Amino acid sequence: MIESYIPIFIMIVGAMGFAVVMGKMNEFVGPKRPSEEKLSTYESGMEPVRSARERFSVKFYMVAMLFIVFDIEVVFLYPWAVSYKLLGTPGFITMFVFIAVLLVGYFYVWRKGALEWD
Amino acid sequence: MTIESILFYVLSAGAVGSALFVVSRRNPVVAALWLIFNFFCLAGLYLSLHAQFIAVIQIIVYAGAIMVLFLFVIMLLNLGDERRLVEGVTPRKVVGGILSIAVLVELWYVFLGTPSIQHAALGNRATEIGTVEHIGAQLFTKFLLPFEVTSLLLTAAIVGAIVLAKRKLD
Amino acid sequence: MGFQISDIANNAPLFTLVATGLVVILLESAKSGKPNVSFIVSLAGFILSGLLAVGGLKTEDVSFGGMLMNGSYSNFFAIVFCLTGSLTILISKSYLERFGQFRSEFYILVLFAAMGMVLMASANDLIIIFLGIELMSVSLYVLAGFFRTQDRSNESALKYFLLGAFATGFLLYGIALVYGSAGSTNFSVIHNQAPALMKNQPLPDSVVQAGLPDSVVQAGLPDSVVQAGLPDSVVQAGDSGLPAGQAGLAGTIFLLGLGLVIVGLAFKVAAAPFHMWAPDVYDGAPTPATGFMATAAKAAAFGAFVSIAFKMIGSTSGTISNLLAVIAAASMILGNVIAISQSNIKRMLAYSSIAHAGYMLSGIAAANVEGQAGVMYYVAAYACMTLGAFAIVSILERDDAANLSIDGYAGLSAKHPVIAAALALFMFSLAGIPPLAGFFGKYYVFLAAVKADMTWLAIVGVLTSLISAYYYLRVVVVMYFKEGEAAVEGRIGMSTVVAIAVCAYLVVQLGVYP
Repeated sequence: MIESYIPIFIMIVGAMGFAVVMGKMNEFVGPKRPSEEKLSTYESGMEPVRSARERFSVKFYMVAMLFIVFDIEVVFLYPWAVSYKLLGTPGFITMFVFIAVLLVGYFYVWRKGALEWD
Repeated sequence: MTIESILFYVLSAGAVGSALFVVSRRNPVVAALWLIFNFFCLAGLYLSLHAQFIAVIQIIVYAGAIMVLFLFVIMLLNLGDERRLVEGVTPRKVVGGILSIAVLVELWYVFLGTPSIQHAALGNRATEIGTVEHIGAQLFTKFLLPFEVTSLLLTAAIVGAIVLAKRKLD
Repeated sequence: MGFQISDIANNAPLFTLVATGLVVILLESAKSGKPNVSFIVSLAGFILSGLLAVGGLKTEDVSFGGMLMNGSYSNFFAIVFCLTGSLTILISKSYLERFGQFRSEFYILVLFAAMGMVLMASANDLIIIFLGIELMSVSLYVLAGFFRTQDRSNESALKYFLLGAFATGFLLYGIALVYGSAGSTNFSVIHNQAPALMKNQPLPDSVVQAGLPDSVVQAGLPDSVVQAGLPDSVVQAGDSGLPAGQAGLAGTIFLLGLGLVIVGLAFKVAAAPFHMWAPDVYDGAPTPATGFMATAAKAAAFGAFVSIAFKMIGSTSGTISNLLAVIAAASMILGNVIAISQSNIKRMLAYSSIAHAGYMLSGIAAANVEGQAGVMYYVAAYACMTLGAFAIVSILERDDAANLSIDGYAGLSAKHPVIAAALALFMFSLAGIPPLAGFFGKYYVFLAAVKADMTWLAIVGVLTSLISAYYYLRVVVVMYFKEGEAAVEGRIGMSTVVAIAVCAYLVVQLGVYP
């Protein structure tokens, strides 16, 4: 039961550990020879440090919403693909109808120009 | 204590703790990041209930997609100094707090007294119910209509998203 | 298998709406379609769907493996939705043109909302109720914010969305608890178990076995899947015979779940403690959308409410009845009293809709056959008179959202006698003056309450109706006896006139031949 997740758990810990170790190792092992020039801001440039909280355009928002809608569609494809053999032709028709309805929505998005950036 | 129950307590403590951080942080971005942590704890809980599919979906859809949208919205509004939003304790808040605590106690009372009714009966089969195969088999036969209605719901959401957020509608 | 060929014929109204909705989207995407085309196609779809619903009134059947229940009940509501939908479309044309927002999306969203409504009314499963509510609500949130450049419209959409999402949370949690205690989301199964759960008795074995969903076996799946299925384990739970204490707690959880489901639905019908959103949302949304929300959405929520109260819980529930009676009384008192002080006609109609939700709820609280029939009649009558009133509001509304105050209607009778007469008719009907539809609606509902030994509820209803007469008749007085400059800008759209005429006709028709 729960023991069967141990490999996954080991993998997660391994992956996280690897990322941390590699990042830190870079810091410790890499050569560091700081000088006045290197630490200063580029003379005519802008102040490089400021708030990371830029105001995003509403365009990002619409792309994100459309992404979520189609992401959820893909979530439904996953169990369907796994039990495809079991479901046979009725299952195929089921998914066909589902995709067809969403395809209408996709067509609408496309023709409205929502996929273009400007 | 078995491994399961230790895992349960650790994950629940994580979930409750991170949820408290989500509502108490002043900076919305920090709150959103705590929410991701909360989602991971919940995914772990699902996993310990043998609902593997839900656990995976929890991470892919919520921690992945929904959180991106959350952060976009925070960035879009960009209130700057969120401290301005904080207001003092109003009578309304006090009443609301008391009522919430009452509901909590009520739920606690109900659930504490409830033994896990189906636990023994489900037995080994519990492992199989949460699998992707089983969900697929049920979703596309018994729950056929809800599944198809979902496609309509998503299409309505697409149209709604464009009506509300598209710059120029012709 | 969850699907048979006959399911399509049984749900012809629903599938007509789905097909129309998809066709309108395609037409809009192909850019060959002007909004005019969408307007005509949507209207045709609604009318066809309504006619099919009339044709389906006689056949009682279950479709999609017990997910939907088709028959006179679901088709009656389908007719109401198609009627309100087509009237909304008729009203919207000249209104949207005047505001420069005449776009096909309005019709697409109305169609999708109507699909959700039909699903809610024909649902025989909590999952369908949930999906129907979501489909309806998502479309309505966007309709409320359809005028994207207006702050009022945006505010309305945002408020509706936030509070609506919160209410959906309650509903979903309630559904989860009901499922957890009854072991199914299907109304028929829950209905079999409800008496035992309500009385905190252990579930008899026979009930548990009878309630098994056997569709998994029918699906002809390989044995391994069937064995993996939940049903067997439920049987074991039943066979092993739960100790009385455990079943008692299952009953508590069941009641808790029902309570949360009722909270979610009470929000959707805008009943008293959960009504706060209604005035702001109704005020800010485009007027045809408001009319659609106030009538069709309310009818759909009542369709789901009545299904849950009668098909799922059954008439055995004293606790639930009392709870509903309190909500009903609170809605009637609050809605009617606050409506008196409103000077904006849309807000006044919003509070009036809260009050009418209270009247309809008292029919459900009565929990008898008369109550069910009364609510169904009331829903239809209320839809006609309120939509008619909103149609007239939409004619008079101007660009700057001015002219919504009731005083702005002064002198309307001199300038436009026909419109004034129609509005007076709707107001008389809303006030419940015989022999109009509104009177008989109230009569049936209160009769049901009296029969269910809830005379106090009927008394509250009659008294608050008297209060309501004051603010409804004030509109009439202002129109006829006050000097003023109520004027309609530009021409009145032909389609709006048709819609008003249909509403007026139905208000009289339903009243004279109930």
